[in-house]
Order: sequence, then C-alpha cells, then structure tokens
Amino acid sequence: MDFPGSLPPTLFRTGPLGVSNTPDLSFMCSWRDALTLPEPLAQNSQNGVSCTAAAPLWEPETPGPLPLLPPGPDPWDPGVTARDLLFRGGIPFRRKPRAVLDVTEQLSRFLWDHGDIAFAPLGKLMLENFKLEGARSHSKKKTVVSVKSLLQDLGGHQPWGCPWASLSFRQRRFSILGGPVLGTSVAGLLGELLHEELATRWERLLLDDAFTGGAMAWVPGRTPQVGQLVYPAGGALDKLRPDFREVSVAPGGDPQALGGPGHIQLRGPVRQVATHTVQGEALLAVRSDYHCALWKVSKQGRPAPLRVLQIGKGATGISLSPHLPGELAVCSRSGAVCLWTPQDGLRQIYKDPETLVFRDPSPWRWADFTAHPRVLTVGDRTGVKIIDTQGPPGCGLLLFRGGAEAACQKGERVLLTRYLGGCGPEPLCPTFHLILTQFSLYLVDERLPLVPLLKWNHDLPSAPLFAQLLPPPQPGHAQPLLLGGQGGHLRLLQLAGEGTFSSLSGRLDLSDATSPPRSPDRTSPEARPQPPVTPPSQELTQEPWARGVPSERQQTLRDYMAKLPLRGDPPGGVPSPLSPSRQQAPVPSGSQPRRRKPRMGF
Amino acid sequence: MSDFSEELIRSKTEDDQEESCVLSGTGMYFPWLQKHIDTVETGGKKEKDFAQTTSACLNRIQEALLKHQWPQAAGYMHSYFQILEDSDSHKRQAAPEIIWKLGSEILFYHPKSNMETFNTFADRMKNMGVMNYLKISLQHALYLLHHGMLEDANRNLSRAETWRYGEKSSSQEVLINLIQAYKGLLQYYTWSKKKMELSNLDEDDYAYNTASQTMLNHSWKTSVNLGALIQTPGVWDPFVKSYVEMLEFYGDQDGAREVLTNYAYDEKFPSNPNAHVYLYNFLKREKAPREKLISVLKILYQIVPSHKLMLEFHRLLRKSEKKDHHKLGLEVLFGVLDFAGCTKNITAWKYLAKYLRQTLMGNHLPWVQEEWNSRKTWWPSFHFSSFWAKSDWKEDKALACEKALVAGILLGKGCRYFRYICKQDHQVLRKKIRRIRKSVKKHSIVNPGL
Repeated sequence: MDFPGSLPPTLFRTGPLGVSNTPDLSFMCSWRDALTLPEPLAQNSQNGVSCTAAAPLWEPETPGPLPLLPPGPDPWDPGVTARDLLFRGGIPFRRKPRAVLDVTEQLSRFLWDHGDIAFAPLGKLMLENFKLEGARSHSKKKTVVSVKSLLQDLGGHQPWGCPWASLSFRQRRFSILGGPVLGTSVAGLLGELLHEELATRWERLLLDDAFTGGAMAWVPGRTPQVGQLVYPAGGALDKLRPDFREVSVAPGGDPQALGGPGHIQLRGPVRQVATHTVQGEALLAVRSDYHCALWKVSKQGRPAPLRVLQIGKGATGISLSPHLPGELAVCSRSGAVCLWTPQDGLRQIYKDPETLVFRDPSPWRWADFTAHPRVLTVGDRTGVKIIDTQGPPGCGLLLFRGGAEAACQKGERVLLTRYLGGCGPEPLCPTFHLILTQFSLYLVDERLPLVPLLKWNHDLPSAPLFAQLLPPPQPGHAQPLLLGGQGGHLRLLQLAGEGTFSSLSGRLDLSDATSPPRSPDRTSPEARPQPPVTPPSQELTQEPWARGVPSERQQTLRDYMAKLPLRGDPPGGVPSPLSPSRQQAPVPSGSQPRRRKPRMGF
Repeated sequence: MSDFSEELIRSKTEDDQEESCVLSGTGMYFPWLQKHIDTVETGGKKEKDFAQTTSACLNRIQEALLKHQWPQAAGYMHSYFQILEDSDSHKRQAAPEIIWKLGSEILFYHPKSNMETFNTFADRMKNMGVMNYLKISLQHALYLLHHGMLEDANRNLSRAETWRYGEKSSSQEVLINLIQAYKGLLQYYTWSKKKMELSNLDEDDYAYNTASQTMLNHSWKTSVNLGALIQTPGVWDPFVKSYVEMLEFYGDQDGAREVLTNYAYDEKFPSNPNAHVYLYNFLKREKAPREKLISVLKILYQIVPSHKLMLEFHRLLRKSEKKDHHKLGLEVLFGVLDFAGCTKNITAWKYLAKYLRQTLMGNHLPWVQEEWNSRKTWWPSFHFSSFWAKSDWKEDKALACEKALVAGILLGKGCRYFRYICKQDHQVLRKKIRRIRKSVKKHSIVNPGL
C-alpha cells in the first residue's frame, strides 16, 4: 500500500464541466505516463515501449454469454431499436436530419391491426346513428347513415391520401359526424400514453441504468481452473443461469462445461449479479428491480440462500464487500444507501435525494467499497463521494467530481464506479477506483481524491455499464479489465502495474462482432405512399402526442383514422390502398438474419 | 417527458456542429445517439461520400490502434489526411489535433518509425493551426526526452517558450509555464549530473571551482523556470522535488520551506499526500523539533491514515511527553490496521501488541475501549476469523503470533484466533506462545482484573 513517491504532473482546475479554457493535459497520449515520471530517467528510456508492446494479445475464441443482455425471447434479438422509435425523413428535415419519436407510425399500426379494440367502444356509442344491413329502419333523420352504402362508397377507389379523391355526400356526412369523436378520443388518449411509452423506450435505448453493473459473474470452485459462470437466462431474465454448472478453463483449451445443470428460478428479472470470495467463502448477490438476494455458494457449487431484501423504491445497485463475508451495500432510487451486515442487519448509512455536485434528474445511485471496510463510495450521475459509515451522517469528501477537476466534457455523466481492490488474491491496487462515463475511463486513487491518475477515452459505441477486473493470465502479467457496453460491445484492456503506478495498455476490441447488420427487408421511405401536403390541422397540433411530430405526419394520422373500417366490416371487404406497404413493414424477428454471436476468449 | 422530442430536435438545430454528441432531455450527452439516428434511414441529407470515407477511415485507424496493428494504422492514416480538405470548416479545424494524437501514437510504436520521421511529423504538425503549437512542442520535447535526446528536447522547449500568438490567454500561460518547468527539469538533470561529478572532485582542484560556478548559474536559471508553474494549482511532485533539492543545496532553506509549505497547505491545491511527505522529510533533514514534525504528520494522518509514514508517526508520538500524543499514537496504529492493504503489516501488529500492553499497564483502559468500540463489530471477522488464523499460521508464523496477542487482549481468551494459535504445537515458538498466553491473561480488556 505504498503511496507513489512522485505523482505525474497534473494541472488542477476547479469549476463546472465543459469549461474550455482549461488546457486539458490528457491531450498527451498513452505514452505520456512513461515520460512524465522523470526520476529514473536512464532506466525509463525503453520502458514505455516494451511494457505496452509486449502486452499479450487476446484472441476471441469461444462464444459465450454477454454481461449485458436485454430481456427477450431470443437473447440475441436486438429488441427495440432506434429504427422502431424514430421518424424517418420528411421534407422539412431534408437539410438537417433530425430524430423525432414516431408516434404516428406506431399509432396507425395499432389502429390498423387492432381496429376492433380501438373503435369498437366508439362504434357501440354511435350505434343509433348507423343503419346496419338487415336492420329495417324508416327513419328519415339526417343523422343516420346507412353502413351498407357507406361501405360501398369506401369500397370504390380511394387512392390513399389523394386530396382530389371524390367524396360522396354520405362519406362527408360520416366524416363530419364521426371525425371529432374518432379523432380526439382515440388519438388523444392513446397518443399521449403511446408517446410516453415511446419516450421511455427511447431513453432506455440510449441508457438503461437498470443493467448497470452487468449480470455476469464468476464463482470460483475448488481449483482455480474450475468455477461457475453465473448469468441470467430465460425470456424474462428471471432464471439465474439455466445450466448453473461448472465450467473448467484450462489454459490453451476451450472452456468445458462439467457436471449437471442447475438453476435458480426467481420471481423477477435479474438486473445485476455480483460475486466475491471473501476468506474462502464464495458469495453471490443478485439485484432485481425491487428485490436483492444473497446466496452463499458452497465448495461443491451449491447455492444456499442467506437473505432477501426488499427495496420499495427500486434498487439501482448492489455491491458485495471484498473484505468481510456477507456484507453488502444496496442503493435505492430514493437516494438512500444501505449496508447489510450479518450481525447488524440492514442499516441506512446515507441518504440524499439530491445529487452530489450539480442538479441532475436521474435517481440512479451506486455504492461500492473501499480499502477501508467501513468506508464506502456513494456515486450518482454527477460525482462520487467517500463516506465513513461510522462517522456522523452527511459528511464525507468527494472522490470524483464531474467538473473541471477531471476535465469533464459538457454533458458528461458518471455511469459506473468500481472498486478495483479486492479482486484476486493479490490486489494490484487496493486503493484504486474505476469511474466510467460515456466518454472516458478514469482511474482514481482514494488517497488522492479529485485528481484522476489516468483518463482514457474508451470509445465504446454504447453506454459502458459493466467493468470487471480479471485475474492475470499468469502471475506477473498485466491484469485484464473487461468493459461492456449496453449494446453488447466488449472491450478488453490491460491494467499493467509497475509498483504503485498503473497504466492501461494492450487492448483488444471485440465490439465488431456484436453490431447488428442492417436489415435489408425494411421498408425504405420511398416505398411508402407519400402523404398529401396540406396545412396542419390546428386541433391536432395541440395534442401532446403531436408535439414535435411534423405536420405532414399528423395529417397522415388523420387520414388513417378517417379511412379506418368500423367493426363488423366483412374481413377483406375493403381493399385498402395501404396494404402493399403494410406487407412490407413488419418483419417478424425470426426472419431477420441472425447476428453473428459475439465471441469471447478468456 | 412531454417535451422530450422537442429537446431532441432543439439540441440538434442549436448545436449542429457537435454532430457526434447530441443532448437529451436531461442535459446528458449520448455520444452514441448520432449512431442511433443514423441507423434510421432519413429521407434527409445523406452524408457525403467524402465525409463517409473519412469517418470510416477514422474508425479503422482506431480499431488498428486498439489491436496494436501499427503498420495497418499507418496505412489508414495516410488516407485520413484527406480530412484536411474537408469543406466543413469545423471538422477541418479539429483535424490537426486528431491527426497529431493518432499520428504520434502510431509513430511512437511503429516498428519502422525512427526519430527523424517523428521529428518531421511533429514539426509539420506544429505549424498546422496555431492552437496546437504549444501542446505539440511540449509533447515533442517529451518524446525526445524519452529517447535520451536531452539537448534536442531543451532546444525544442526553448523555442516553444518564446512563442506567442495573439493575446496571452490563460490556457496559453499554463502551457508556457509547463514548458518552462520541463525546461527547468532538464536543467536540473544537468545540474544533478554536475553535482555527481563534483562530489568526485577534490575541493582544492581548479576544476572544482569552474564546475561549482556553472552549477550556480544553472540554479538561478532553474528557479526562474520552475517557480512559475508550482504557483499554479496542480500536482507538481517532480518539479517541486527537484526545485527544493537545488534550493537546499545552495543553502536557501527559507526558500525551500516556503515552497514546500505553500505546496502542502495552499487550499487551491488538491490534497496531495506527497506534499506533506516532502515537507516532513525536509523538516526531518533540517532537524526540526519533534512537535513540528508531529504537526505535519498529523495532517498526513488525516488524509492518508494508511501511509507507511504512519508507523514513523507512531514512534514520534510514543516518544513524546504529551498524554494526548500517546493517545493519538494508539489511534494511529488502529487506523493503519483498518485498511485492507495493511492487514499483513507485521511491524504494525508488533507495534500494536507492544503498545496495547504499554497503554494498559499505564492504566489507560478507556483509550483502548474508545478505539475498540467502533471496531468490535467488524475487526473480529476482518482480522481474527478462523480463516485468517489458519492462513496466517501457514504463511507467516511471526505475524500470527503478534495478531494472536492483540486478539487475545481485545477479545479475550475465548477468541478463535487466539485459541487456534495457542493450540499449535511449535517447537521454536512454544516459549513465545506461552508468553503470549501470560500477557493475554494479564492484559485482556474483556475481563479486566481477572
């Protein structure tokens, strides 16, 4: 635990993030660290080159599970993608492509596919205004429309969206009568809900903090070569590894599964899995949305439940103590951090609904351990604080500040923090913490708060929500650090320690194996019938769902609704002009070309 | 949530230059947002072929760098230079920095790269856009330094030092200070070498006088160079160290003290444990009174209770006459052993075992209880579990004995650790274990008086 006698020079600036007049000294490249330690000048002359160039290369070998997987019937199904949520194209967007959540598309599909659900109640309400076929009525009232003749009119030819299409008086009457009711009720009610849902989905697509920490962990077995890989499976991710069996990793050989499969069935989706072996005792902690559970795994690999915790506001993170068996920290969306110990049970050690450095709306919180078993780090999107659980509540000092201290960019937020000590029998760096943001990876020593020892641009194409320091392949080798992005991207880095100073070197990018190929059978915008160019309707623009939706799309929606068949229509009785495009649009996930499975080799 | 999509649009139109990162409703940037948007086939503007090829090329370079494929990276780099002709002025302006970053990285590791290539590249890049001149000069000098070309590095730094562009901005000033400081560091190396030579010379020698004269000159120049940077908040350990060494050599003790005090206590500086260590070492060299040394280490104790100097701190406190220093001495030892990285520090355990006995003999049971109260819930499983008893005994019997004594005193005879060690029948240690048993019987805080 020696503190380095001489730290690399760093400029220290205080202030908010994204201040541009600070010269960011991280402009210096990876070999900077070898250079700025001037003391052993003579011996240092070749050090930097050899230490990085000689780093072993990692080859992806065997397909395996990913630490971050969205729930789905098929674990390799990409689920909702940006294509499903965003509006594609449009004339006002020609010059600058923008994204708009595509409510109209989703809504119109719903109306088409489930017209019975959308319109049946309305139809019933308006029943007295229709004269159904067979019903003999001699009413001369102008408010009663004969369905039969209406369908006949509709069944003619109505080029979809054509403003010059001829309208019969009957249709016009129906339009006047039904228009306001159909338009406001369905679009108003459904549109708002749909928009909200799509916005949530979109946010989750950009960053789903439920998966922070990753759900894959290694439980060591009797010998170092044998252990269990624990990860969730099943459509709802509610099974903890269906074949909860032993995996043997022999150097040079493929991992082999040994023993019989076993699994733990849970009642909620598994969001995070954490393991630690403390004093020879392997512990397994699992976080679900509102529950956390702790198991003790015997030498034979059998898990025995120890404790289940319920978190009313929703849990955002769970961490196992690397120092004391059975201790764990749990964070809640309410801003509280609790420490569970076998002796004292659950104890709230920190609570602050506000964020640490500046105001950020995210309720995400994270806690991890430090080199001192009673001192924890508490993090949110804006920074990371070190708190003494035995000290008076509320005090502590900032370990990492989202600001000029770490030369953070505008809009940069903390996505994950990890205590790197306590990994493996001989921790490389018992005081080091890893902090991940969308842009960079920071290595911070808890003895030197606020000044990152290392900043490195990780360049992951999705949110880095998983980081795991792995044991070195051979004693004395660099420790591999596996980073995982939300989109299934993996990156393997090496943390080479020389005495007390570490640097990142030797990298392998596995991300190319996981990016989904472009699906060729999607509808191109050209294949879609062009909507008429008409001025936007004032009524519709005021609808909340319609905000941000370009007027032409609103018009499209109005057209869709004006032309929807009522319940009771003979199936296929109305040859819809839309059908060609509808056949193209939905592509069943099974028919999509399968993505190449990502490969991993460690 | 309702204005979510509005935000999405606004950010794009207002901040059109920042194409790679787009703001979301929460003020957070998502660098991958643009990629998501790009997967949606917009009927709008398609990226021009030019932009497409450059960005694809950049991706290839980055991939090659990640995989340490330097020749491939160099090949792609060759094509990437086309970005300098991009019609988008924003991209064109940002290009030199990217090219320098990637290019210098490639040239640093490329098997066929040599000094000459690197120099040519650096000189070219320096003059491509004024904003990067200082940064690149500094890095170029570091490269030369790394390859042992001290004189060339010095020349480079001198050239950069006098360079000015427009009004001196604060960022420029910091960089110039940094450049000067590195120059000072280089002078320090020369000085240090001279000092070595001098120590080998006879004082009456003629050569001695000239050598000491040159050294004097150097010192004056260096102080000018190093002085400015270490006033700026930051971590400047190598600079401060060498500066102080030179000041001390020329007998400027006050100057050195001032530099170190400022470095340690200026609130604008980050809390750097080394600043206190340097000050402490300086005061120790100066033979400062114990009181003074304790006051410096007290602060270091507050910042890093696990520092290796803490054992020295404990010795100082133990020797002090003051009662509260004795109490602090106990606190410091407990503090060191709280940390995961220090659990096997046999000196600390030895000190604690000895000091616990001493403290209890001095009738200061409340001191021990005060320290123990906050630890009694977790020290037993952290230090004194049967797992540790077994593994400590197996790995380091001396450590196990010291720990057993402490465990016995703090937890009583019944404690598992103590019992396990006592049970061991070891020929050499038998006497020692008997002594431990006796000590525990006498001093254990669990049943005082028994």
